[in-house]
Amino acid sequence: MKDFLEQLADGEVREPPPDFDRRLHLRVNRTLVVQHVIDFFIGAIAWSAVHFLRATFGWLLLTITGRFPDRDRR
Amino acid sequence: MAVDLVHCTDEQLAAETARESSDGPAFVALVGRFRPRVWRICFRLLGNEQDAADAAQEVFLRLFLHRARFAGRSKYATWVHAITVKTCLAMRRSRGRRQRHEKVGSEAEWEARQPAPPSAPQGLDMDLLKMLETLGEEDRALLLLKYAEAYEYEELAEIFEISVSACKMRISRAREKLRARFPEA
Repeated sequence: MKDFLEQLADGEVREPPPDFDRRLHLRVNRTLVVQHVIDFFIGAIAWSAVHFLRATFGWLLLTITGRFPDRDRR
Repeated sequence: MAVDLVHCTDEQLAAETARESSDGPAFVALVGRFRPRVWRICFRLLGNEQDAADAAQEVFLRLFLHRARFAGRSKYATWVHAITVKTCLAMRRSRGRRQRHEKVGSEAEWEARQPAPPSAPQGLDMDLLKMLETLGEEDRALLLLKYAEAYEYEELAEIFEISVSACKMRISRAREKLRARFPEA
């Protein structure tokens, strides 16, 4: 007699929906867009922070010493 | 050098996918290769098409997002199957939590809104699925993969990150539990 758990293998598995690949493609692309937007903003925030700090440093230097920062020194 | 996406190994295909910046030909080939197996696991563990489709898509999305993380410690197929099982278990747990939460919110409303119980796949006794529902999530998944999908103990051990002997023990104990609860089975 067949083991009762071996009957599990008799269960039919239906086919995936026909638009499965299309929906997956859309989902992957939506995720990619979100990821790129987040990357862009993280990059933009870092870039603007660096520039803002440079300007702030220049303003402080000018206030304290009366000199502009040396633009050639990077 | 272009890789033959049809005849290359799973690992080569995964490496090629990791090099792509979007869902290009390698990822499409990867989905095509693993779709049948991932779908079968999702359908077996979740029991209906809608949830299985959601879970399978989630699995491929995770594969895409983590495509560079495959470390090669196991076969790529085992890694994919482990992600599939984890995704399905997480989905079942969240579904259970949501249903419990809704039930607490309004008992009568909840009863009325309950979907029809999952239809038993053709050729399978519904009682058997109900019996499996009495087990813990992981034990249920272990039995389904072992008996419905004919996984070897070694592969199950890798998927569930336990030793082979622990895997055999858990399956044996889950069987015993079912035997004890349903002696007529």
